Amino acid sequence: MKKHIGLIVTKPPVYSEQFLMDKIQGLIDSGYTVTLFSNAYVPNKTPFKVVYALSPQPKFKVGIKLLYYILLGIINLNKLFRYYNISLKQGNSNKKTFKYLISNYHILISKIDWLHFEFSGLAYNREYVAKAIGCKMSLSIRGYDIAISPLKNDKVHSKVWKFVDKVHSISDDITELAYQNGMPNAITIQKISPAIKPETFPLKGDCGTVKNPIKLISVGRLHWKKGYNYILLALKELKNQNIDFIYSIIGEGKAKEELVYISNMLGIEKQVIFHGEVKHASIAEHLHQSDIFIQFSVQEGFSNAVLEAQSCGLMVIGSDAEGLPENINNGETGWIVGKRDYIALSEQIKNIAKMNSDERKKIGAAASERVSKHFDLTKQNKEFDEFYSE
Amino acid sequence: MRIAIFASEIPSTVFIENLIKGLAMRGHTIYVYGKYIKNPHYENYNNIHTVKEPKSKLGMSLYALKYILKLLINNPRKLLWLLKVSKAQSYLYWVYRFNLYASIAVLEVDIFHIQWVNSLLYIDSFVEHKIAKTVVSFRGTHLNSTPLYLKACREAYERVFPQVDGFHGVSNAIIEEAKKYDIALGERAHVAYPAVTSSTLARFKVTTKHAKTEFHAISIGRHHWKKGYNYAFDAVKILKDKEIPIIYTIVAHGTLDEQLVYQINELGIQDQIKITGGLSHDKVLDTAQNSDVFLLPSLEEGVANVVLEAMAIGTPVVSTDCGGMLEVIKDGVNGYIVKSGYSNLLAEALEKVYNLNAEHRKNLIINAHQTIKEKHTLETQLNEMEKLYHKVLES
Repeated sequence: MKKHIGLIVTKPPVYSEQFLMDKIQGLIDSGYTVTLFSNAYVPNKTPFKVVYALSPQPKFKVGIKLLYYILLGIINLNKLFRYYNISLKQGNSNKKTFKYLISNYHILISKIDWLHFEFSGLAYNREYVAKAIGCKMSLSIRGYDIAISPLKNDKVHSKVWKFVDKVHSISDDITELAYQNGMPNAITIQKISPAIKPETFPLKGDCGTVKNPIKLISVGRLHWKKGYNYILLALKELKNQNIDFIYSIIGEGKAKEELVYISNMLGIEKQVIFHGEVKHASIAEHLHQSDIFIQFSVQEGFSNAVLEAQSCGLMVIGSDAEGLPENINNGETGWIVGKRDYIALSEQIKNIAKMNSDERKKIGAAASERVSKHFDLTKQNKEFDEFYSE
Repeated sequence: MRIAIFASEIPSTVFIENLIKGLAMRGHTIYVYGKYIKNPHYENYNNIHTVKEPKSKLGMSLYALKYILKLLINNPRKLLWLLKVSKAQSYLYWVYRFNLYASIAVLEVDIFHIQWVNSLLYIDSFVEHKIAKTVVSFRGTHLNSTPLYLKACREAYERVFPQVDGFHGVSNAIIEEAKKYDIALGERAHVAYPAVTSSTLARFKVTTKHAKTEFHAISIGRHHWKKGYNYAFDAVKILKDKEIPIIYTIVAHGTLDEQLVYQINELGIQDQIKITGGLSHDKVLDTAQNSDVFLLPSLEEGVANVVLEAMAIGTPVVSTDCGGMLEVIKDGVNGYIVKSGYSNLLAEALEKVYNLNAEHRKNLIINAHQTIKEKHTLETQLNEMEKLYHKVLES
């Protein structure tokens, strides 16, 4: 009988969080029982079992659930007591202890062998839950949670580390950041690189060609950390030099207003196409119609989108943010350019356009091969199986 | 003239309040429409009247009932017409529009002046049925940015602009931009530049560079992407690397975006950046006057009032060329102006100010003050606004 893993997530994953969907499916396929715990209520959007905290659920449901939760609470009274004691021992007030006992109640009353936080920040104020349940505790560090959150609240991690049994990191740079944020050397850390299904992102037929106008593409939500504003400046440089291009952006997000405005301001609005969100299944199609993929993030844990683009054999340019230099083998499977340096980015695009197509084809083929060799989902599934099997 | 000022809140922004009081002082009767937030202090003006938006459903309904009874007696045909043209998808929306339309019709105002162009999205039928002559102001974002990414906004502007009697632009640039939605609106449009008050102008002094060891730059304005603080930070980094002792202060309400927090940390410019907030207008001007240069790194503005104020009080300005800023600043004459969105250009301009000799700096400051005195006083603004109103009444 394999273990029962409880995964703490921000909200139940939908298609745009493919990496999480893939991980969960992989664990289930390996024989684990998986339950998601979420404090945000999103009904019927996910194929997996989700247990919600009481507060975000609709009122009529809470009525029925409450009785059930109280019953489970009585059965698991020992865990609740344990939580209470640990929290007081850690110097928390009665009030604070009680508050977080309630907000973590749905986790405390469940029968799990392993509690895993999908982003390290989620463990904040849930530090003792695993100990109270008497199960193992682990967390994933993925980028934003270790690179940006600590700047806003430096307590997030310092309180968490001593309760953690194991850490999953997605790249060496991210691991380094965790050490900088006080992660003790004693904690076992396992790097499991993100992975994709290479067969759904096959090498494109015309790998190595660069069309005129050059077809550029980015895939990722419209968020400041993705550095789209610097990409637009690079494109303006191309335009100034009369190099013709069309740039497709796939994704939605808060920064849309800003990016649409900047495209207009720079006078490249006719060449920049905002496609919005696109079903994961049709991303390969968009990639196949494009020549060069750009991921110019200011902060990036690893980027599955970059794996997908390489798998399709596009010419891929990434910034040097955290996990990207590990994702792209500079000069062999793509190119790395210093982040924020939009002039260098425009030069790199020009250089790629100038290369002969055999040279480009070689790069595209190498990228595709490397992805299927090192970043295949079946490999990742095995690694996660190992991660939880001890 | 009887002028209705349609602002979203009472009191509105400083410049709209100045417009209201200025028009009242010139003898016009003013009706101010909006949600009542706090006392706007019109006590000294007996010709300013506020028409407050009722806050509750019941209040709105009672308000409507008042107009229905009034019109039923005086002009039942008009009542029927108003009920018809204000009709909307929901009851509340209908009542809201009816109250506004009926109030304007009953008061028989000469000009209905919409302060924020995006209001047209929900009172479009007012303009289309010509309940009163309408003037619409173009002040910034709602024209420069919103319609670019919101299709509904774009479509509303294209549909309603041709029906509007007059347009007020804060610059020629913004009127040019508006032509995207109505190619023929130029004839109905008129520029009235934003203005600074005489008390701000009176604060003028020729400042010298304050400290030898530090170079103080300042920006004023809320945290928002259009303010372009991320470009300013990149510029600070460039200057820091050149060993120019820059200290950059942002005066703004609210907390700093995580983007900017991250950027400060990543660029290692923690010692160069200061964020302060919650200062009174008076204190803000003091701080600006004690700085060596005022920086406007914005991507989008109408005409930035803060720049006009800095020029008025004697702080040299470095600005981007967004919105109508090119109509205010002549590069190297009364300030420095560079392309929006380029941190290296901001850095270059800041360096120029840093290296100014006393004589050149003095000239720049005097020229800037002169520009404001000539083009951006409340007097000029009111003159231009009255010209526009007269043009609309004659049309």
